Amino acid sequence: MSGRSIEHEELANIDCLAFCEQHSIAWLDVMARFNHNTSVYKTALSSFLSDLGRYQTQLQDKGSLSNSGLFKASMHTLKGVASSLGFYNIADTATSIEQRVKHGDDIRLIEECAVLREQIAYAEGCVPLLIELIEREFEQTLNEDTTAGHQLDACNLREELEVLLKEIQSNKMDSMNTLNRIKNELSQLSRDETYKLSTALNNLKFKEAQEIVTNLLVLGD
Amino acid sequence: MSSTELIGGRSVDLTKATVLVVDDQPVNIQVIYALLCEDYTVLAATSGEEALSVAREARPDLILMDIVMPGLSGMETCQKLKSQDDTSEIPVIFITASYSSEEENECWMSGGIDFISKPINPMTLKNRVKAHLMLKYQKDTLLEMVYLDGLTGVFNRRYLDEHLIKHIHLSKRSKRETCVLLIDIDFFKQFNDRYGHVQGDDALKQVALLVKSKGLKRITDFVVRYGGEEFVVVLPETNISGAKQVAERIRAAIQTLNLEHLDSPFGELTVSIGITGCLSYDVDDSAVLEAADQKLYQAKVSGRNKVCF
Repeated sequence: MSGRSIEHEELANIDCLAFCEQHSIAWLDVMARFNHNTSVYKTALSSFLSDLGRYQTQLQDKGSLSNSGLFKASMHTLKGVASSLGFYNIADTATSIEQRVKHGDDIRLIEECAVLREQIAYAEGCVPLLIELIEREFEQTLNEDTTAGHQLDACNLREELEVLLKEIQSNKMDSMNTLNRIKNELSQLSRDETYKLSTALNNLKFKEAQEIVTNLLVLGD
Repeated sequence: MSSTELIGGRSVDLTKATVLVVDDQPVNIQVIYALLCEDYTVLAATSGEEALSVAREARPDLILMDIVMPGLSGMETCQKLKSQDDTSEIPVIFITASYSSEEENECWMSGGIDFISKPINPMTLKNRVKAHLMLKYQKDTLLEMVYLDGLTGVFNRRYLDEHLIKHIHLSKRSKRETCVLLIDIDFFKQFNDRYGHVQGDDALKQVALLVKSKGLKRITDFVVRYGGEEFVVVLPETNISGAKQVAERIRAAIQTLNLEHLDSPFGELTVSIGITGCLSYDVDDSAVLEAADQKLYQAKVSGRNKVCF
């Protein structure tokens, strides 16, 4: 896998399963784990992608190894997330690093950190392409279906926003579906605020999302 | 897998159950959401602190908790949940990527009821969640049977015996008054004799419902069916003047029910109410109830359909 660059062109004649097989992502396991809900998996991949940069910085910073507690916790988290999303090679290396930090085994630690950096860099190339493939394979038809009979007027949009606000105030995960349903109309009201809201909800920052929806309600008036 | 189950031939619908998922990594919550969203309402919290606040507010039926989190860890959060009256009964299942027996023991000691390993096996998660929700449902049903009055649906005498004394203790400690209202339906024996027990039972249900809707405004207030046609309302952190307002509201609401009672001088169903505060008595629930009964007696002898305090 290492050293092989990922070209955008390779997406032309490939589906998600084949792409994941080529790039050692456990697509079938992941689909079972996500109950074949590709939309939620895609959201999770976006969050994962934004976190990968943080792990990369941490692995490059030699000082981070001196705080072994924090570094171990970070590897523990990466292990769980990567494994949930089907990136088993990253999960295995993170597990091994966690154990080495735990037992003070520094001999192979630096070497394994370098391997992990390489695996993360590779994943940083794969994940955007996989997101694009998921959109192409699973969401095109879905979008056509939902946008056809779904045009909200200002009054209905306000009602939907009020529903969304209540869901967010109660920390309900369904708020993500509600947002997806009204995203197009909401973007027409304010593209920036809609983007911020989407990012806040993807990261489950409900308080932040609540403020944005309140602003959007005022804007709608 | 359906979230409707049969217990003893009775169908139990778990679709209204609420599951709170706590993990500092949104990705892990999204995995669980994808698996449970079709069957239950899923709430999320990305820290122990947020979980405590959501649990207090939403009272979920089950919590799935990550162990390693910055700030309050999963175990610390669980301990805090278990130490608070309003959240102590919520079952907590830990989700862990560690496999050490020391950590498992710590989870049990902090109050967890089960474990699920990461990465999650979808079937295991779904089945464990369903099994624990079913157990919670059975426990809640059992508690209802123990503490609720079968006819009116309000709490029963057993509940009062166990809970009034706690409120008297709290009242003494905080030096803030807790008031007790003793309510009696006027001429209820005559009502039953004239209209029959079926109508009598119906009247009791209507009175209980009104006492609940007019008398209870806060989560800590509660109403109990004390005897045949007697009800008790407990109002923590309420002084006599506040309790009097509640009692008047209840008395007037019952009169406006306009339930015919031709053997009463009022021509309709009415109640008499006695009020007492707990602070003037020792820590003794019988003494408090006895005092409320004396006030009720005053209301009766002074003509009924009255509030005395």
